[in-house]
Amino acid sequence: MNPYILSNLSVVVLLLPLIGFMGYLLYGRLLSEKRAGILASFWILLSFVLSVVLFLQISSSGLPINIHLFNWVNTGNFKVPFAFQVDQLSIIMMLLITGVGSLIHIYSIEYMHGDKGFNRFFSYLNLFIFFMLLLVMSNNYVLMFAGWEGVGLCSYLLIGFWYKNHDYNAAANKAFIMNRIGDICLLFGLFVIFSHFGSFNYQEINRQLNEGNGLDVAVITTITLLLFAGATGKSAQIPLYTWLPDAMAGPTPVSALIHAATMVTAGIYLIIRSNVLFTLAPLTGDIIMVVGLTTAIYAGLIAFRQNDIKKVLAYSTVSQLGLMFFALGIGAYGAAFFHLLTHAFFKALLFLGAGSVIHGLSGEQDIRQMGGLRHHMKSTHLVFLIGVLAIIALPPFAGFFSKDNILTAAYIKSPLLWILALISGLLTVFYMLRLYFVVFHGQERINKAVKAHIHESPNGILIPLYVLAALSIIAGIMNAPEIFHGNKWLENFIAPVSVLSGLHLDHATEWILMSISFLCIVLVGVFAYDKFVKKGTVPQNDKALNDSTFSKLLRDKFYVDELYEMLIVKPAYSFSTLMSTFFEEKIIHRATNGAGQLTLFLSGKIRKTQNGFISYYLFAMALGVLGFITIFILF
Amino acid sequence: MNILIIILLPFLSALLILLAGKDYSQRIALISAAASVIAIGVMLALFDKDATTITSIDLPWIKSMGVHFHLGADGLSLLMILICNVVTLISMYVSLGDTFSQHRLYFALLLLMQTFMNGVFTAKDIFLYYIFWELALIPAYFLLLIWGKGKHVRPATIKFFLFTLLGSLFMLVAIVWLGNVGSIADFSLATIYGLEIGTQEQLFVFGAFMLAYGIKTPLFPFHSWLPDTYTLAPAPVTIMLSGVMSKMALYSIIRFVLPVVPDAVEQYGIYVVYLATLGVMYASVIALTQKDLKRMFAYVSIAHVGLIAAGILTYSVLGIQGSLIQMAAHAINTAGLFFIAQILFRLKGNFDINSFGGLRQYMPVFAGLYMVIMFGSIGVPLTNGFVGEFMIFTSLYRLDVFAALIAGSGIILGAVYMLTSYQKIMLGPDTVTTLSDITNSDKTLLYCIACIVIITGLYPSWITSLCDISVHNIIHPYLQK
Repeated sequence: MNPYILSNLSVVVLLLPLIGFMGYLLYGRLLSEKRAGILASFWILLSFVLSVVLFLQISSSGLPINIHLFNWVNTGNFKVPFAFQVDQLSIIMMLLITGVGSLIHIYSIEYMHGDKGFNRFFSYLNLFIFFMLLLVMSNNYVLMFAGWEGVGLCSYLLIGFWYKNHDYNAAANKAFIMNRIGDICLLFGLFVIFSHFGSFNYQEINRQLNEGNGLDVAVITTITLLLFAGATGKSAQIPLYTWLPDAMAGPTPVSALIHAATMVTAGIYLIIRSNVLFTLAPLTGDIIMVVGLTTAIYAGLIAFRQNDIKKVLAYSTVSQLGLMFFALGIGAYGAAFFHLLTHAFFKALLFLGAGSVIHGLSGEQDIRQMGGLRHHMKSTHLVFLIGVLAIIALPPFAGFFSKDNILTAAYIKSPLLWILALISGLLTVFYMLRLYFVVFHGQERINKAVKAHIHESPNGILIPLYVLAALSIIAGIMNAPEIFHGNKWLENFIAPVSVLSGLHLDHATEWILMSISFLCIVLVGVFAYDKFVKKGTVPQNDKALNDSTFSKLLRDKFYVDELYEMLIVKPAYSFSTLMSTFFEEKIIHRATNGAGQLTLFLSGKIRKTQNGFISYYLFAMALGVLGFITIFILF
Repeated sequence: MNILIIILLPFLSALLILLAGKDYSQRIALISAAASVIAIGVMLALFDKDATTITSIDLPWIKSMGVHFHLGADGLSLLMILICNVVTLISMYVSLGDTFSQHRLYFALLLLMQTFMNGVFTAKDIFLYYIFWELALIPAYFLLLIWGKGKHVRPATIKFFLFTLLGSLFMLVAIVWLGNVGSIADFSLATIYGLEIGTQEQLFVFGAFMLAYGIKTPLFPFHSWLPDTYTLAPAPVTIMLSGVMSKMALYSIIRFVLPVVPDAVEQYGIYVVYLATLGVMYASVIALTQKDLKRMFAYVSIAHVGLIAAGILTYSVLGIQGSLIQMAAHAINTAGLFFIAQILFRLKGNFDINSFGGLRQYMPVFAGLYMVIMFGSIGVPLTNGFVGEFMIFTSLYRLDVFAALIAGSGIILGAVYMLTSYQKIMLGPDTVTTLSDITNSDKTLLYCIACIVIITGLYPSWITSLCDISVHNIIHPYLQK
């Protein structure tokens, strides 16, 4: 295809969602709900179709498309162009963003029906897609950062979408501020990058690294650590994860799109994008591995005792992201990316499925008030089950392939890591089945008022769910390993931008590992079935007395929020109060006011010298002259 | 077009307002301010970016002292004049929303302030510059004294006046000394730039200038006059003070300190950088618990100008260019913020953050525009606050990591205090009263400001290319030494 058309096409893909947003600003208030929803979805769908065209082009030519629009910053050697690079990594991300994005747009038309801020909601979603595309399409770190903060901004707007609720607003603020803490680390990473390489351009940096320039391990470790710190904010890893569970305050489609499928994976994208740097910094790799694995297990544990359907899924997201970081840490970039994609499908499915449940139950989110829903919501039950089976990595669902990829990579690194990763996977099996059984099986615990209105969701909600369910089943083919007669298509596709792991296990070992993990999954599954279906255990009330200390810890999320409040937030405010009431008022102001008063005081004294006696003046004059003469003689 | 028009237009308008038989003050002031913006727009359009200065005027003035009435403008000056005139127009527009006693005097004083500040930005003779510098203080003094609100207006005004005057006196000594270093008294900038000054003397001049500019900017710990002044002054005057007068000092550092005493800057600039970055953190910390919105914005302003000063004193092209972008951004953003504070004041009659709440549902347009300006002030990318900040931080990082880290705290705290105050004022559950959205004329102004925020954020390069030659002329002679 004509390169001129191609580059313009990429810009169009980026701008369509922005046009949607601008359109809302201009005439959004005039549109009826239905039109606004359809129009907003249309822009994203069109963007998706064009992305498919670009994808076909790139997969046939194998060459990235480069577009230079104008210079954003340009002074001396400090140049940041508004320029894009659509390569194998970007295009897959673009397909994901616009693809899942359009499904969620369509879903929201029904889900947000009747909300006062309906049109506004869609404008924010469009804006979000724009920034997310900017993030993955830019060809340099600074423009990427613009998208990075932009999606954070949209996340802020959407978490606090129902702005009359103070808790929601607080959650929005928390998300923005915690992300800012990560962002500043990322910013400093960019400063180091510029000081070291003299450029922000990915290709330029990789070129320098390949030529062997600037291979200072200390500097590269600093850069990668700072980039990773930025990623912990956006991708909700320890220690900056606490905003994500709170972010569930936003409407459910937002949780699916932003806080599960796309935005929170930006950190993973950043590291894959910078994989050449990260490969050169083994220390950072180890740190990422440890943080990722710890987060995966830790968040999985917390999910055990959560009773809000969305909170369980939120901690599950944190845990799955942790697993992706773990994969990145051991250098399995392809596996991490693969899991990013499959996770996007089944987690979006689960969130939207949860949304369908919430919708059917008139807004109820507490799983203790659910149960037995499989009779009332058959279709939702089916797709949710598919999502659960995919996330617990049961073959042949998508999650199985991507987790297996990560487990294999872990085993190559060390069998111990394999065990730990498997444990985190088994935690997932348990809490997801707990969620599934408690919501869809067992006794009905729905309260009467809700039960009268209980209904299956309409097609507008179900159709996107079917699509996602289909993807959750088949997406594993994308990167099926040789053992299943696959050819690791995805990993090979992004090979031009990402380092291949290269190591392989022999098939016998692979079969054994797979069988062990399969067995474990089934065992845990049976245990969960026994506990929640046969015995019909229902999660206890918050105030249950017979809680052990550990389960209390889990329920209260290890008191991390309280800890941050006590160690950081409170001291910061107390310090501020101290500074403004004491230092600013008592020292700075008093000192300066004192200077003024001193002047007045002295001028009062000096005035007394103006006493009108000529002799006094003469005396003073003589003294002055004498003084001057002395000075002249001396110097 | 002759540069003199920039001075004469507001000056003659002020005279016209005072001397006219009938009272046309509002109309004249607004037309004059708009005409000034158009004039500078034309000048920018005609400006040849490769030329060093545009048409200037040079008349001998006080012959015995070698003082000339010498005006001229390069890219840097034009940028500052643009900022000054746009902010003046905003200030005039905001003034229309409130009634002022003796408004003829009021508008005349505002125009005079604009005149003298334009003089500061165009003076090519350092003595003339000093005269404009001091003259600009006088209208500000009366504007504060007569139209300031609150019990403490008199002491606050006197504090403001004495503080800035004190600083200027040291500068005057340095200027007189500089003008008389050579064989014949000559205050022209070209001569001053060419002087060979010893290290000791450089330190003295550096200290004297920086004291004056440190107070006027203001830098920590010389900021004590600012919170009271900004809070008590009427909104349009606060906009002028924060938008333009603080830029006078920052501009002067670039224009007079860096090229005249380069060795001293090289050696001692880092201490000012530390002071400035410490001020960023300090002001941000204080802003965190302010209950008065206008006072909080005042501290925000201190934090921002501190960062700009730090950027200038990194003494690098990157830092200075970043500071110039940030100056333009700060002028617009603070003007916007103080205007927002004024709109809120008109609703409730106070600036107490906790007395508001839930305004967004009644005022969706206001809420949206407030948000844009707020994110500009926080420095979110693609708003005007980002690029300059980014450049300043990059140059700060290369100069001194520690300074960059201290100032970095301001980025996080900035998000905290802006978002929490926005939440308290605009969001939350219904309040009892029903309000309607802001008036169309207020909307128009906020829309314009929001547009500038976004456009400058998308294309800040016009500032860097406008000032490119000027900045190089200031930095290069030093690099060549």
